[in-house]
Amino acid sequence: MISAAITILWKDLKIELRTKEAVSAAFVFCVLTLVIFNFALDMNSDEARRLGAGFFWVAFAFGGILALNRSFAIEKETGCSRALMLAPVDRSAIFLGKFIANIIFMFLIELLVLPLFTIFFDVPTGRAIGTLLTIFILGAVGFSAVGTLFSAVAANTRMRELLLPILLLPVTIPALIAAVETTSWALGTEMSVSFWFKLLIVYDAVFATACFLVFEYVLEE
Amino acid sequence: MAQNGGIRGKVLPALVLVLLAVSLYLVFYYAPTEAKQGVVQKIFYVHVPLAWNAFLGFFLVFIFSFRYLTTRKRKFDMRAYAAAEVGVLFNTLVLITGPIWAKPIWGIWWTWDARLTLTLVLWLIYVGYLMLRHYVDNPEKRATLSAVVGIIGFIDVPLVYFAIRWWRTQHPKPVIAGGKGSGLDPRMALTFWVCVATFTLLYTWLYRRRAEIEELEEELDDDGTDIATGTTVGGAL
Amino acid sequence: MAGEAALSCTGVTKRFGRFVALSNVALRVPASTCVTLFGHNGAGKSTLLNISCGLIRSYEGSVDVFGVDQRTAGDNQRAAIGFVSHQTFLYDDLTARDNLRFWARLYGVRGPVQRTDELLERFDLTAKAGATVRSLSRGMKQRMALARALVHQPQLLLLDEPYTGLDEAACEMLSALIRGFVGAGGSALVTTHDIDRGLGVADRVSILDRGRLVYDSPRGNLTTETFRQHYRKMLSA
Repeated sequence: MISAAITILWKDLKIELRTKEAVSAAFVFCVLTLVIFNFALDMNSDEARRLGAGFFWVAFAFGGILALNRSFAIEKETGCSRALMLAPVDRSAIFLGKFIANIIFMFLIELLVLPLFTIFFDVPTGRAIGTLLTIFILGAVGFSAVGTLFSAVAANTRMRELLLPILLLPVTIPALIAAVETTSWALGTEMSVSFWFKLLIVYDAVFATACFLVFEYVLEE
Repeated sequence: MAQNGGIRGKVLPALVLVLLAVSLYLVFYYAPTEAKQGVVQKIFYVHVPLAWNAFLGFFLVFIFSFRYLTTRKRKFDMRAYAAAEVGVLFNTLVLITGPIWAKPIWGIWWTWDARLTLTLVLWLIYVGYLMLRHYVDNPEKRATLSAVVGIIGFIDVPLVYFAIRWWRTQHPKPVIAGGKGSGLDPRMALTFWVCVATFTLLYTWLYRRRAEIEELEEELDDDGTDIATGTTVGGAL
Repeated sequence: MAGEAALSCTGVTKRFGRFVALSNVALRVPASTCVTLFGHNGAGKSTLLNISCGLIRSYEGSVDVFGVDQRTAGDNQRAAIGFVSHQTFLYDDLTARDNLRFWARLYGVRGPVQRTDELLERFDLTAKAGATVRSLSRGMKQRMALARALVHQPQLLLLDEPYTGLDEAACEMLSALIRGFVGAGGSALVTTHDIDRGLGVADRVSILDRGRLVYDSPRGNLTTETFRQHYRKMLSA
């Protein structure tokens, strides 16, 4: 099962390496979101610094959804999702492989957006880079867990692009709030955050498990 | 699920109507008017029971989703759907009565207070559930996919609750729904609990009717499936 | 294992709501045999194939592949089956080589790299091994799809309307491949409405009409004309 998951992980990474479609589309969308926020809310630098974390994660959420959509869109295109179901592998291995691939993609998107975010909002990210990277990973795990599952769910419907955000965003609210609070703290504008770190870790653990267990039901004919 | 014939099917709706009448009397004539908030406070007798029952509904969605996945019996899928629909209806009413209550008292419609925000997020999750069902044509697939979302959505609820509550303690704002137990006059308490009973029975009645209608529609469409057991029967073709 | 059928369907009935896709179908694909299943669109051919390879699990009756009940079969049992459809089952953005290696690894093939090279050679695709599938011509994609289906050396090959949209040369190649596969000991079930091609590869011939198996016989000396008349008569009955 692990080797099947790794095979699938490599496959997803290879495809993305060749096309760069998911990460680049997500990155561009994140940047657009940040730019639009800037126009929509004419903030001075103090406000920008205080609210910046929020904007970062909103931009990430929207961009990330684009990338997650592709996760199962590529499987459906040429019938590969059926072919995967026909292969002698545990369905959960498919989840595991794609889940880890998505974590990597989400993390990449966060990394790519970070420098632009630093510049646009004039925030001191350099000092807190270690903490920020930790938060990025925790956020990526939680978002990908539910995102991978719901991407598979949405891929089975008539309106895939519409349903993924509608299903995913409400469920990821706890993780997004936690990510924003911890990021704000890392950037020096929040007080106590141990609760938020704990919440993020619990969220990740709960949903990585739950989504893993429930995934096999989604891939049925 | 018994077909609605004769006296038995009429007991629940009759009870609901009676309780509704009793509740109306209690709310408007028996319960004292609250000192600070005035008449508007009486919305509380509707707002809170609606919220509790919406939550009950979503819990039922979780249970039925789980049972569907483990047994594959269509009746559980239909019950989950009915529970979700009535739950979203009640939830919508909570979201409407909340601001109606808040405006006269606080002067603003909405303050993102913990409870109302949680209700809003729940509403979003379950509206998503209903939308998902709308966009899947194959009934078996629809049942399975909804069950998955129904389970994940409910698992999220405690996490949302804690996240929002903590977020609100860190960034405090005025609270719309005054605590239900905050020094309730005994007459108010009685009124409140009668209302809770009324709305719970109302939920039950609406949910059952909805589930029945789903099953009847199934029966009309689908000659081969035994409704009670949810399995296909090898009858004459 | 010797007298065991590759595929054995008994009393298979499948309903989608009110619509009966398959009705009490009994079909057998003996070892080292090719069975061609004819039928119009909507006759239920694809449904039968989906049930045979374990993609659909809720139906009445029983389906055994090499003696193993498909409903309860574990993941590993699927390794004995290969599937060819009009979808390529290939990742457009991966190279031909990467595609085959991926599927070989997923199926647990020993020496996936050598097997890949072997198949590329056999299907005359070595020159294009490093090209993405998206850039291949239609004929090459077809050959790739076949290579993929055979990468794990299945014993039972299921082909769902494989001749659709193929030119003469490709059809020839496909038929030769099927005959070769069967000659080497494999079994195949081909669905098609191309009478010439279908008869050309068949050892047994069957017809599915609106969910029922109305004809099932060894090919014998049936000529295309005779069969065509048979077919027409059967389907207008």
